[in-house]
Amino acid sequence: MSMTLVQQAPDRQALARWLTDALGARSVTIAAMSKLSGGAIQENWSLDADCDGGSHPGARQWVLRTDAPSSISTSHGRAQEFAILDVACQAGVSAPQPVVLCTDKRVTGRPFYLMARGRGTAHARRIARDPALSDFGPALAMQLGEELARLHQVRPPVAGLDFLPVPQGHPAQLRIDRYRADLDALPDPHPVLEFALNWLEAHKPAPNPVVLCHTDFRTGNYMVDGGELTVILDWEFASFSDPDEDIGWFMARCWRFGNDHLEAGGIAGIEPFLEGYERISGRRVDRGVLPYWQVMAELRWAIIALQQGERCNSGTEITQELALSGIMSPEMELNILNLIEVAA
Amino acid sequence: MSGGINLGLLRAARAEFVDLVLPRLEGGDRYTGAMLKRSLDVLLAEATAVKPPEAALADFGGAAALARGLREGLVTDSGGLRAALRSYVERKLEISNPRLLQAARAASKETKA
Repeated sequence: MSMTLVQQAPDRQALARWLTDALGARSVTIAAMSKLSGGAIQENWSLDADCDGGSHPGARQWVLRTDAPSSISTSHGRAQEFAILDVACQAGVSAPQPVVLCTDKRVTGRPFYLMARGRGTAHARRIARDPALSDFGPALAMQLGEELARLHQVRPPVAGLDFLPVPQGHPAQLRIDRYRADLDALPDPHPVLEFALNWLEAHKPAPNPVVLCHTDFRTGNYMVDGGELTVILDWEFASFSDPDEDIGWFMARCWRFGNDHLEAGGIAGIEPFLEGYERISGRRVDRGVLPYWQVMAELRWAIIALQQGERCNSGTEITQELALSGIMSPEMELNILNLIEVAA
Repeated sequence: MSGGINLGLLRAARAEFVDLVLPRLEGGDRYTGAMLKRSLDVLLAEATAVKPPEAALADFGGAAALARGLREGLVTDSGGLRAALRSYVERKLEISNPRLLQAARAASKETKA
């Protein structure tokens, strides 16, 4: 018999004691703490703190990010994510400013870090259904294109990111090999995904030089306030890869939240996004290869959904959300078949 | 009974949940309730499916044999393969997300027109 794992709030007093020491403060008081929604792989806690002295004096609004009871193998640990945030911020990307990292499990039971809390909402459907979307969507898409281009200017080797493997060989082939291994680890056969992998292997585009990719850059993973971008979230999958992989993921139909005609993440047409991207990166994006990377994106999300379902089916973490994620893969499979049909 | 599932019980549980429980839920519980309704819908659709997805792949020996054949390069791309895979996916969607399937079919008709 399996059990649902109970998600407990971090111990406030233990946290305050540790922060006092880590931030060099006379004292730290945690005024409020509540769990934020989302995050099947990590947990996020909103945290309001008052720091007396130290490196971050005064009233602070932070997010405490820590591991969920179970996580998937491709996501980074908190220490790695902290280092990635630091590099992204230094590159001028609107990532949450990292504050402090704790790898000592004695403090809250799990590694965690604090980062600045962004303004606005990351709720994808709320953004996609905003009545003013047609007014702010194109400008937001352009801003996102600029942000992604800034990130893509980070190229290996990068000090502090030694833990990120630099692809030796075609980045697309490495993904294909990885996803085949992922399918092998799942209990059921998935012929549509096998078909997609064969198609991806046969149609690989010429690779671009590898860059630091967010690898989960999509609507739902950035915050918007008053129609403007405030911060880009969820860096747990960042990797060195082909920059077009990020663009394909952002465009994929599975991330348009019902606005299927708006290729830029369901918020605008793709051209404003690419205009912003190309202006900052100086690289002309080959529109012809983007369907390829969208197939890769749909495939990847289908596999992640199946993995999330398996987390529930295996009894590791029994939640309806994970169970329902597990039955989403046919949606991505239909998108894959449609994309391949058009590409042919 | 269907596949060992008591359909009458499942239908009654769904109907009473939708009619009596769901309207009373508030706040975050409504989200949980919506997920539960969706779970019951999927279970019911799965139990009463007249076109089992697997049957769409009968010409290729079923899902497991086809997946293995594709991996080993024994099955290659063809019009017949694509049609079978599409039928397989559509049958799975009839169970897991019939609304999305209807929308996709309507969009496809619009494009062709």
